[in-house]
Amino acid sequence: MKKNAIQFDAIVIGSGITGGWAAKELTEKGLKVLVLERGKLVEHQKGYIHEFTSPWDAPDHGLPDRELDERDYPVQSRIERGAFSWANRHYWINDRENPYEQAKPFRWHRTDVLGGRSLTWGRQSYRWGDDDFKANARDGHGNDWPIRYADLAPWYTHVEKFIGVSGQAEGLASFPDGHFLPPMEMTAVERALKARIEAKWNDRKVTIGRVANLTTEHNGRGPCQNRSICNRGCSFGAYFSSLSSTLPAAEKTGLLTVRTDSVVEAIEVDPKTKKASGVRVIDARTGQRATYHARIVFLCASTYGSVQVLMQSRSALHPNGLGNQGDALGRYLIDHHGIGAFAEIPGFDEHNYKGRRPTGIYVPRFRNLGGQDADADFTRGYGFQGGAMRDDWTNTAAMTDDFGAAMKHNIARPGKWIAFLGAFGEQLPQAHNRVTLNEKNPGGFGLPQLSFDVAYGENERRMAVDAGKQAEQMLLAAGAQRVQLIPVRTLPGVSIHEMGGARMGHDPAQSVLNGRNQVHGVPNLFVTDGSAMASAGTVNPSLTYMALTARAVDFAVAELKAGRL
Amino acid sequence: MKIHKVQFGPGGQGGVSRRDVLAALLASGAVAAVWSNATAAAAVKAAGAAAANPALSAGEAAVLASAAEVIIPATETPGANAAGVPQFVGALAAHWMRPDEAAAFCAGLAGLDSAARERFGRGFAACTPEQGAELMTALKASSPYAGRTFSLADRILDPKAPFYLRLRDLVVFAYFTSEAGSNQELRYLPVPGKFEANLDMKTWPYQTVI
Repeated sequence: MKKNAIQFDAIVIGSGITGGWAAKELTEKGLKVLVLERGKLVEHQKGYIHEFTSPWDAPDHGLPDRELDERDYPVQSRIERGAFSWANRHYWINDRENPYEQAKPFRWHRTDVLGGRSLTWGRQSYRWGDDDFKANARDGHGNDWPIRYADLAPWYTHVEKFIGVSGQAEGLASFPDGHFLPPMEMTAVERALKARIEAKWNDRKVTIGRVANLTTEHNGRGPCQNRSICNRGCSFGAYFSSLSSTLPAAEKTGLLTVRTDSVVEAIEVDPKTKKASGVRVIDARTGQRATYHARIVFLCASTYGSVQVLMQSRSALHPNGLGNQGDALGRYLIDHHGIGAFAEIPGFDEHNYKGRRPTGIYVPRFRNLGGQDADADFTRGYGFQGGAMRDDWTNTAAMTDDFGAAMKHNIARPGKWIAFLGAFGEQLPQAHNRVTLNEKNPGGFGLPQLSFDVAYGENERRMAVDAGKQAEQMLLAAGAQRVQLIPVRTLPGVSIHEMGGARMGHDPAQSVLNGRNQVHGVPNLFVTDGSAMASAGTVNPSLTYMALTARAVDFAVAELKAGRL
Repeated sequence: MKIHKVQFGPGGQGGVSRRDVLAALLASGAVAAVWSNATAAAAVKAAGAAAANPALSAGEAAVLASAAEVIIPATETPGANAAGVPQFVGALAAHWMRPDEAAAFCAGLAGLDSAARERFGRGFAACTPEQGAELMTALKASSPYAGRTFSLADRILDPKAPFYLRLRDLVVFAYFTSEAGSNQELRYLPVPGKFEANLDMKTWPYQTVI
């Protein structure tokens, strides 16, 4: 690396969902941008090395490489919903080389490549409702959000139009509709589930999962082929990722420079101007250090990554970390806890389907909406993701121990219809759920390890009990004879809906960022990933991060052009 | 087409490049038959079996081949042997199982052989399919398992699963992930194109796999 050789208008730290968006918006507004990514280079199409590998050509037909996974991926390989596999192991971070501390059990699922978790995300894309932004002020948990739905609505539209979200408009105030591509189709049992649940409860809605997969050609990207192997990478460009969408758009401007293998150590703040002046980087391959300079910095390193950088950027001016005027940095970590319910739905044996749809169904929040339900012993609420499919051979084969011709035939035929509902519950923001730096225990690249001290509490426990009961009632209404509840998302971090740690707020003593995602006291430093979230809401958060990022860039560039940054 | 373990990095598609595959797919607008034809022998190579260091003795390999055919017999579709299952499972014993697992697996196969000699006066590999099934039924009956998993891969990884289940599950897994099983019993559809949400079982009684 040549030292200080190039000057940029803006530096973006991270190339995942928010970093990619920051790069696209900044370059399209005419700024010369450097993107710093700690991970390895993965190229769109070429880097998806196992996208077309058949089961019989897969290493050991897809059985896990236990020795390798236990040695290098003990955390990553335990991810729920199968997002880690032989086909995409090379996207995930090496746990052995990048340890972290768990004061209480905590899962930190991280990628280590260009594009980040935009390659592996679940692609569910929902708008927050206005009540979600008002919740903290209403019930006193957490701090008041400095923004409301109206502030973000045009940016949701802006983002949806670019990324392409397939979904069905439902006209619910608490679950706002977006700018949708045609919805994906429900299976026969999902349609029955929808009809039966909506007939019984007028406050409940079953809709198809709103997903960032294209149902039509869109912005030069191909439509979804219904393979449902998105997290291997998609050469059709049919789902939104930084590699398929935002980075190519930024590249097109001619103003983008991407530097992979660049681990950010700290952001330097000039004591005279009080502004961020440079970003200190460690080359992941050589260990060499370099500093890059720019007029504005967007920190999009992921929730915990960004918190770590803010903490590591301590200086005389910011002795407790950037923007940490009170003691909010690293605190109020939030995620989605949950519970699962599934049941066999009889009576649909003649129905089948063909292909693999990359989304499920969604039941928007119906608990404590606009106030406390009389029969609820918990605050806030939850939504459900679910679906109804026929059991496949990997499950039916494990339910029996038979052998012979009949078994062979039975396993190959479509199995029982199984409906399932998985709750995503809003965790309350609490000061004691925090992450700190352990200076005494260096981890990757000699940087301090993050130490997580996070636990679900009584409100989460009660909410999960209620979610289980309601899911059971809904599945029984849909025709199930017997419902089984299973613990899912019981461990903090497992949902990978990591939020908080550098929350937005009005008061610099209570928050790290203002209503424009500016770090308090460092006006040209913006943080727009999940760390900015002051509460968790019930829907999957990525779409909100994207909208926050686009909005913050718009503000930043206007301020820059007005000479105020 | 030559098959080899794909390493991290570019390439790894053997004789047909990704670009060729994509071009064919995009040009035809449907699933083109550009996928490799892995023979059982190639599957063994792909599984990285070291021929110089076989985990199974010749006798144990013969028991495995016979037992696999009892578990997944040839019907209107190929059986375990035609699908290359014994070679694949043998390769797993050689390089995927841990030494203690491989030893237990070999011991289990040897036990099947002894049971066959005891009951029918001949080795398992020399038994008729009916005799093999009788021995397998007896083994199953004497193999309690208290665990419960939701997926076959989980049970394969469960150290508490008895030999009968290990053998049966590995054979089933190997078969339904083989080229023959994936294409002739299941329906391997690498690029379905569309999702047909509601089809009649009379016209489409299949599971699509990828």
